[in-house]
Amino acid sequence: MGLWHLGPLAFPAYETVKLLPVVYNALIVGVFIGSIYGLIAVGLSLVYGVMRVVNISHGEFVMLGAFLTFFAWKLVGINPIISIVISLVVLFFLGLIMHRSLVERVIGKPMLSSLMLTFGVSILIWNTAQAVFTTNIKAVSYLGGSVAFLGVNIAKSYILGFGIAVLLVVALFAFLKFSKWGKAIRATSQNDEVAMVCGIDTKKVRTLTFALGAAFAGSAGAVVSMTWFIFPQMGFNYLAKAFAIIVLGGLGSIPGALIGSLIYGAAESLAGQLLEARMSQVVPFVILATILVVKPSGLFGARER
Amino acid sequence: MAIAPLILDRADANVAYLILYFVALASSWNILSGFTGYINFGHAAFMGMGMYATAISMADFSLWWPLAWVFGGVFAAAFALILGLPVLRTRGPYFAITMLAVAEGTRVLLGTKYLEPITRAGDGISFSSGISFQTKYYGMLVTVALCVWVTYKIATSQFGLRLLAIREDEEAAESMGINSTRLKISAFVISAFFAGLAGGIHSTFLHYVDPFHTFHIQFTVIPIVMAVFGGVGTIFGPVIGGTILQILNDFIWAHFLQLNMAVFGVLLAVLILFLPQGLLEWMKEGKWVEKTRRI
Amino acid sequence: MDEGGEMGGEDEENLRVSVSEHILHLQDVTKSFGSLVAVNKCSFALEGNRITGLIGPNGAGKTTLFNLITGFFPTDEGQIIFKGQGIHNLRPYQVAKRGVGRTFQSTRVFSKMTLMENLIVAARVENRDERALELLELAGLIDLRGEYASDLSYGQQKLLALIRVLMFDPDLILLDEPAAGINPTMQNKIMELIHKLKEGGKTFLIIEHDMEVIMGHSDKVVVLNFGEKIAEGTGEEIKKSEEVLKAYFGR
Repeated sequence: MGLWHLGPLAFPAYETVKLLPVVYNALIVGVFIGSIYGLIAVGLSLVYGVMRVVNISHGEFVMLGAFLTFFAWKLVGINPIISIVISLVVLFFLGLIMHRSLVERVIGKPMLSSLMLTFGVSILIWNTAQAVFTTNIKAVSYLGGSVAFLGVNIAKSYILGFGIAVLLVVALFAFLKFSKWGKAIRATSQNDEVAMVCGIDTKKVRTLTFALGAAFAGSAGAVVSMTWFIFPQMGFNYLAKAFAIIVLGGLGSIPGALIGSLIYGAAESLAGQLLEARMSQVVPFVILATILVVKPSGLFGARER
Repeated sequence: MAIAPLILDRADANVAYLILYFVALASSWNILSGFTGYINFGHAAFMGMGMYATAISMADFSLWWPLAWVFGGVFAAAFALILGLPVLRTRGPYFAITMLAVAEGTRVLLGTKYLEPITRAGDGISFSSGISFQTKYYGMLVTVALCVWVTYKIATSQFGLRLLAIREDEEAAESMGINSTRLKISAFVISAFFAGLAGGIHSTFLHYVDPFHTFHIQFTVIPIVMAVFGGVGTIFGPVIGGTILQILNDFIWAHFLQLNMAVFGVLLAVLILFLPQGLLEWMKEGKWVEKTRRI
Repeated sequence: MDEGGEMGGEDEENLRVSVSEHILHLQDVTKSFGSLVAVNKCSFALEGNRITGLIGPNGAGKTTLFNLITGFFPTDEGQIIFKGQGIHNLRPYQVAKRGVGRTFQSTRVFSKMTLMENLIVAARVENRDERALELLELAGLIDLRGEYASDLSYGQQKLLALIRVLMFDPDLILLDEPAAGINPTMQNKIMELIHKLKEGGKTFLIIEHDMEVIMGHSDKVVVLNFGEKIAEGTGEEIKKSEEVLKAYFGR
C-alpha cells in the first residue's frame, strides 16, 4: 500500500480544491444576501408567531416598497436610501389598514381562511401593480460598484442591505425586549388568551405586529430595488424564500429566522455559482422539501410532531 | 353540454369546452383541498406536468392520443405521490406555501438548461395532435364526468368522511386510528391525476406548451375561486362555481383584460369573508337544497 | 406493593414478568418543552380490567402524559409499554390501532358531521352501521343520530366522544375529564357506562378533578405533581397520604 494508490483520487481532489475559492466567495456573498432575505423573513415569522397567520401577500409588501423607492427616485428624485425610511413608514400604514380591514376578520377562524384571504389580496396587489407599472423590468441604479471585504468583492448595495437589516433587527429586538408594546407582542405570541386576561389589548397587538411586518418587508423592498431587478410579480419569489427560511429556522422563532436566512443565503449563492444561475431559484423548494422530510420543526421550532 | 359541439358554432363550442376544462381543474382541486382542508396552491403544477407529459409523448414518441392523455394523468399522479410523501406528513400552512413554491419551482425547473433536451426549455414544444375538436371536447367531457363521479364515490364513502374528519380536527381523527398521511396522499394523487388528464387533453387543444404559459398562476387561482364559490367539499360545488365563473370570466376578459386576475383575487377575498362555505353549502344550510353529502 | 415503577429500564426479564399482569407500563417517562419539564421520570403500571384515576393539581402533567401515551409527543426519555410492546415512538394512529383510545378535555367531536357520521369515521369493521346504532342506543343518543354534532349539548358531546372511541374497540381507554362541566345525572350516566364497559373487559385511565368521581369509581389512583408521580394507591390510601395533601393544599 503506497502513496501512489491515492493517485486516482488526485483528479477529484484537484477539482474540489479548485472550487474552494468559489465556495468561499459564494459563502461570503451568501451572508450578505441572506441578511436581506432575513429582513423579509423576520416580518413573516413575527406575524405568524403572534396570530398564526401566514401572510401570503407578504412578498407584495416587498414589491410595493421596491416600486415606491423606484418611483420616488425616478419621478421625484428622492435619494433611494432615504426611501428605505419612507418605505418603512408607508408600508407600516398599509399593513395597519390591511390588518384592520381584512386580516383581523379571519383571526380565530381556520387557517384555510387566512391563507385564502391573503392569497386573494396578494393576487389583487400584484395584478394591479402589473397593470399600472407595466411588466418592464426596472432597477434603481444608485449604488453601483463593489467593495472588497475579506478578499471578496461585495456589491455596495449588498453592504447597505446588510447594514439596514442589522440595524432594523437590532431595533426590533430592543423593542421586543424593553418596550411595553414589545413585551405585549411577546406575551401574545406565547399565549394570546392569557395575554388578554392580563389586560393586553390583543387586537391592537396584532395590528401593530402586522404593520411592523409590512414595514420591514417594505424597507427590504427598498433595498432590493437597489440590489436586484424589480418587476410586479417579484413578490411571490421573496415570499417563497422567506417561507423556506422560517421553516428552516422553525416556525415562530425569530432567532431561527435570522440564522435560517444566513444559511439560506449561502445555499442560494452556492447553487447559483456551482450550478446554473437559474438553479438558485429552485433552492427554496429544495430546502423546504428537505427540511420537511428530515426535521419539520426546523432548527429551533418546538412544535409537536 | 353533451351535444354542444354538434349544435353550436365553433366559437361558442370553444366557450363550452373551456367551461369543461376549468370545471375539471376546480373539481380535481376540490378532491384534496375541499375535503381535507389542505389548500393546494400549486394545482397548476399537476396540470402543467400532465400537459408536458402528453406533449412530449406525442411530439417525441408519437404516442397514440388516448394513451398520451392518460399518460398525462398518470405522470401528474406519480409526481404528486413523490411530492406528497414528504410534504403531506406535516400540518398547517406548510403544505399550502410549499405547493406554491412547487408550482413556481417546476416552472423554473422546466425552463433550465438541464432539462432542455427533454423540455426545450423556454422555447416550448409545438406539435400537432391529429385529433378533431369534437374528440377533444368529448375527452374533456368524459374527464369532468369521471372526476365528478369519483368525487361522488369519495363523498359517500368512509374514505370521504375520514377526509372531512381530517379537515375538522386532524389530531382527533388520528387518535381514532385514522392514518391521515396515507389518506391525504391518496386524495392528493387522485386530484393530481385528473388535473394532469385535463391538462393533457388541453395541451392537444393548444398544440403548444411552454413553461410560462403552461404553469401560469391563473390555472391555480381561477379553479380555487371557482371551487370556493361553488362550495368546497361538495360534489357539485366546483361544477356550479366553475360554470358560473367561467361564463363571467369571458365578461371579465372583455372589460378588465389586464386586471383579470385582480378581479378573481378580490372575489376570493370577498368570498372568504362573507360566504366561505360556498354557494352550494349555503343553499344546503338554508334548506334550499337537500342537506346531503350526495351532492 | 408499589410494583409498577421500580424497574430498571434495561431489565428485559423483569419487564416480561410484569407485563403479563399489567396492560400499560410507564418507565421513567420524561418530556420537556424547552426548559419546562412537563413530565419527570414518571413510572407506574396499569392493571388490566380496572379503572385507574390520574389526579394532580393543574399543570401537573396529566394531559401531557396522555399525549405521550397516545403518541402525540415522543418521549425524551423512558418507555411506554402497552401489552408488552413499546409504543412511545409510534404515531397517534398507530397507537390507536394497537388498541388505545382517548378522549380530550374539549370534546373535539366533528362538529360539521352528524352523530352517525362521527361514529362511522372511527369504525374499522364491516358492520359499522349496526355497531354505531348499538352505541348510540347505549348512550341514549339514538334519536339524535342525524343531528350535527355541533347542535348537541356539552354533556351529549361528551357522551358522543366516549362512544366514538368505542367504535374501534380499544382495550385501554384514556379519558380526559369525562365528568367535567356536566350535570350530576349525566355524570352518573357516563360513569355507569364506564363501569359496564369495565365489566366487559376494558381498562380505563381517567383524569379527573372531581374527587368524588375519582374516589367513588376508581380501583386505584395515581397522583402527579410537577410531572412526577408522588403517590399511588387506593382512594383511601391517597386521601390520607401526606404528599398528596401537601401537593393540593400545602405550600
